[in-house]
Amino acid sequence: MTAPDRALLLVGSPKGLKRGSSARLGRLLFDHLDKKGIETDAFHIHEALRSRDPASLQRAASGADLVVLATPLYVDSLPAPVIWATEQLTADALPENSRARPRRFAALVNCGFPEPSQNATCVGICQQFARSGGFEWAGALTFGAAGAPTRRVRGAIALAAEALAVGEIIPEEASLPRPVMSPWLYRLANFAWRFQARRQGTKENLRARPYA
Amino acid sequence: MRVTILNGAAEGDALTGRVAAALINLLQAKGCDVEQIRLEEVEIAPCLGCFGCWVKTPGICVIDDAGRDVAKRAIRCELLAFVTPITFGGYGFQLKKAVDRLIPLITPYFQFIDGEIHHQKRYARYPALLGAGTLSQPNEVQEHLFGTLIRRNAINFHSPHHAAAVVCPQHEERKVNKELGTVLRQLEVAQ
Repeated sequence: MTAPDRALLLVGSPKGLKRGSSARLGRLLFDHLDKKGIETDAFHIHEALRSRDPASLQRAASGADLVVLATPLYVDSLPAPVIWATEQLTADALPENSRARPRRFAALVNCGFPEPSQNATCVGICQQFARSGGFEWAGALTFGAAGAPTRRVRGAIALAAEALAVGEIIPEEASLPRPVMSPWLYRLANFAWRFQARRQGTKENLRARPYA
Repeated sequence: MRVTILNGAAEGDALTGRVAAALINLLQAKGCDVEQIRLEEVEIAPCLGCFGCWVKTPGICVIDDAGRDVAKRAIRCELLAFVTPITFGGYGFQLKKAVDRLIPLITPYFQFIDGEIHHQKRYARYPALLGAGTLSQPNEVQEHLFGTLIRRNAINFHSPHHAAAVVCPQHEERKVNKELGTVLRQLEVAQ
């Protein structure tokens, strides 16, 4: 196992590098890596897709020996722009000099449902990308409730960082198999949707069927 | 039966195009009313993750492009078919850009389905879901992931029935038709 010199955070949320759960979870992990003396950088996938600039993504990834994807779950898998990014980052697509050294890939996946297990298919896809794309698989952390920053979540990220910083796979004990909050309580979030709708003036219309 | 095919073949992907054509032939032979949307030819911006389609303009995406039309056609058909190259076990970019824009079809409200939290229905009825994926060579793990993804999407989109088939280049025309015919029969039996 080789400790990484350079780590790249790929943010797969449309909300950018500063806002949103994926960026926040990624930053938490990368703050740990920074403190361990690893050179870090971050890249917003949507920006590269918007500007139709796959080369910028390939350049950023080819300079890193650890790539970490922090992404939301969209409809049971990776958001479309992240799929585009994976297609640009396979071994064949990268410069030849970046293929010689081992590169590792890890994923942080968060979903809006309380159960982290709903991210399982997406993690399977990430793992297949790593295998097919010429990376070593370095493991994943999955989060429910959009990765709400509880003590358990912070602890899991700290454990993952410890492992990744010395070239190891994210350990099993870092995983959060149980929801951080009860799915029964989670249904109270229905009130939050109504509150948001009231602010938008659409409360009576939330169940509209425009295409019926 | 009204069928909408979301064809996610990228430029130069002859295999996925061949699968879409075979599916259309089979469905038309059964008397179905088939429409195909070639996703590479339409502008569909990525989902913004803003939930505007749930709270600002309920049921309609805030982005005014072809994604709205895809969602409308997807809910008005009886069978929705996803045709796509399998990308690491999931959908290719062209299909996924459309699938991400289907969330206006459900509401923000949560409910339990088989012990898990999911979003509630917006419409009274939803189409059955068929996934037809292509792989450049057989890969059991990715075939399994693709089937799981179709099953999970069927839960989230309240599809009453679902089925998936995977086709590889070495499959002859007859085998492709057999694979697709099998999944169509699965859906017919389920209905």
